[in-house]
Amino acid sequence: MCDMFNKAILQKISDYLWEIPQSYRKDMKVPARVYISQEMINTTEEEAFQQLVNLATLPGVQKYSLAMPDIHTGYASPIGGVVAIDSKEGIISPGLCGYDINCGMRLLLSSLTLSEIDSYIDKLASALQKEVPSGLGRGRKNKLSLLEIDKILEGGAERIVEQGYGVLEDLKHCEAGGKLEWANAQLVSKHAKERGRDQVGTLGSGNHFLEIQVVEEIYNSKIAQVFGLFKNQIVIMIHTGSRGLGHQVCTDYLKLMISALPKYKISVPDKEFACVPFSSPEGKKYFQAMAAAANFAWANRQSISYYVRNAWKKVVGNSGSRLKLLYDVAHNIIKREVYVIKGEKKEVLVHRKGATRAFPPHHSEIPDDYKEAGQPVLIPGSMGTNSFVLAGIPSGEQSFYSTCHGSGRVMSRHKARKILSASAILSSLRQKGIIVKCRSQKGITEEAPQAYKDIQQVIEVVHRAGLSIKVARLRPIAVIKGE
Amino acid sequence: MGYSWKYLEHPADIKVEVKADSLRDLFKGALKTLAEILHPENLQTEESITQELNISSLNQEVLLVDFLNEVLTFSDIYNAIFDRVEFKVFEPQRLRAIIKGKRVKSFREEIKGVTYHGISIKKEDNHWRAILLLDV
Repeated sequence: MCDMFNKAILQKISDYLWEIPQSYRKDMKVPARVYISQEMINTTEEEAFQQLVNLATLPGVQKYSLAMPDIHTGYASPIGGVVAIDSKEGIISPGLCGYDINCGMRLLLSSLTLSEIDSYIDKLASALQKEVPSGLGRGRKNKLSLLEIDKILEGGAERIVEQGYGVLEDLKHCEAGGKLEWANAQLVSKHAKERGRDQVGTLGSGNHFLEIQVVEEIYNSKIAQVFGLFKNQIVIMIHTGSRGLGHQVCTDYLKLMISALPKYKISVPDKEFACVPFSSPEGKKYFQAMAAAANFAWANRQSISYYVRNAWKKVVGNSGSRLKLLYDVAHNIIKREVYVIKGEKKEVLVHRKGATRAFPPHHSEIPDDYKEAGQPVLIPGSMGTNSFVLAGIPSGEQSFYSTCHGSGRVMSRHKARKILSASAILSSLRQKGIIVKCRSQKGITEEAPQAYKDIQQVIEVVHRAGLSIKVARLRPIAVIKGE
Repeated sequence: MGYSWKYLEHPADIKVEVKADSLRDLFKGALKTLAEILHPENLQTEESITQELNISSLNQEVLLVDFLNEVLTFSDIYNAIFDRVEFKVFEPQRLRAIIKGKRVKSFREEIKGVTYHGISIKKEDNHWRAILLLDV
């Protein structure tokens, strides 16, 4: 472990971009950069910056190690960390994707306004809580066969839609079509598959949630129109990932890579950074297994959408029309992408750990109907605070087309439990007109707004720094949480 | 066996310190710590469960993390809390053990993984001490 970081080392590039020079530590291969305001630097813990420095030491790292304004301490990379690694000569690292592979966001749009549905909100929130298991060990009643899990691992959201639990348009509006083609189910352990058998269509706990929200403000009417967003519209946001299956893939491959470190003579500042050359057999295997877990996460969010649509139909009825998928995007993932670096096109592995891809207009990997607008980016706030829809823009290339992923914690879960009162939080949310469905007090105190950075500040930084632009602000009216 | 544990501050995840009289008890204490963090109130069933583990690792610290991760795996698969362990083999880089526990209806905490971040096992005076970071 390294000495504590001194924030005075940070050099200001602009109001929203700061740099830690390569000379700060002799093992740094590139400088480290963080998109953040002066005010937010003051509230970010030193260890998070130290972890950003660690990212800059990785073999094959290109240009800079980066952090988004929601940066906070993680366990290898800081949360909010982005690093692009040369795919020919660099490494791949499971710890930089994390345990919740393809944790991500999905937003479903209704055609109704708040005034049209106001009297149904409580009933709808209860129906959503009933339809989608949210807690711990609360899997679905029927376990899928291992054969079906294999099909999901290789088919992703497509496998779920094929079975009638969605429409083709859903797939067009998913990152990568909801399926990474290079996934290989055979490289996912039986333990991982066993863990996933009752978890397709489940929310999980912690900061995962379902929210009924209303579009409170439109910042960019042209892009909002393309995305199908309008003021006072009711939308439903889903935040979850690959559940126990994904956790097991990360655990399995970290163990493999720790044992392979001596073989490849790689030295890392922390074992959680364990990595191997991407071109090695272990590296290729992990990339295919990670893709399978990512596909499982897309299948999970697609299945949840099916249950959400069922609940919607039961409560609102057919007049409510179908919930349309705006977009589904990951914020914990490793992707192959091409950038011009030092005048040459280079393929890199972009590791995003708590960061969201934000491709600009006309990028080949975004849906045809969003080509002029840019990729939708979905940023959740903390419980009871605003969420945002952003869009990718050309100047986002500076951060390998990455932007923030949420608020970022500032208070430990343990401290939140000790000093905050669930009943006071619930009362404050009720006063704001927000319904909360959560089976445990612990889930409410740990995820209280006071435990997080101010989402508005995070969004202002990425907007002003040119990583993505604001399209709409969403206000929660009902929160369904895990425990 | 004698062991104790406490939470340490961490902004996002769960960091704990476990202390025990011997190295073997440190592993047992870490298992019990995991069980206490996972354990729900009044939701255990009477159905007992046992599971055999056989783990080889790079060193003792990695072995502790691998041991706890294996326990988490079986907790998730069987919806069970394991709080007792009987070591058949206990070596610096290898262990074989039977873990015992009870099935539960739900967990209090979802632990995604026991990380290797900052893992340390140290002998201090007359006890052993481990620091663990759990991703939640």
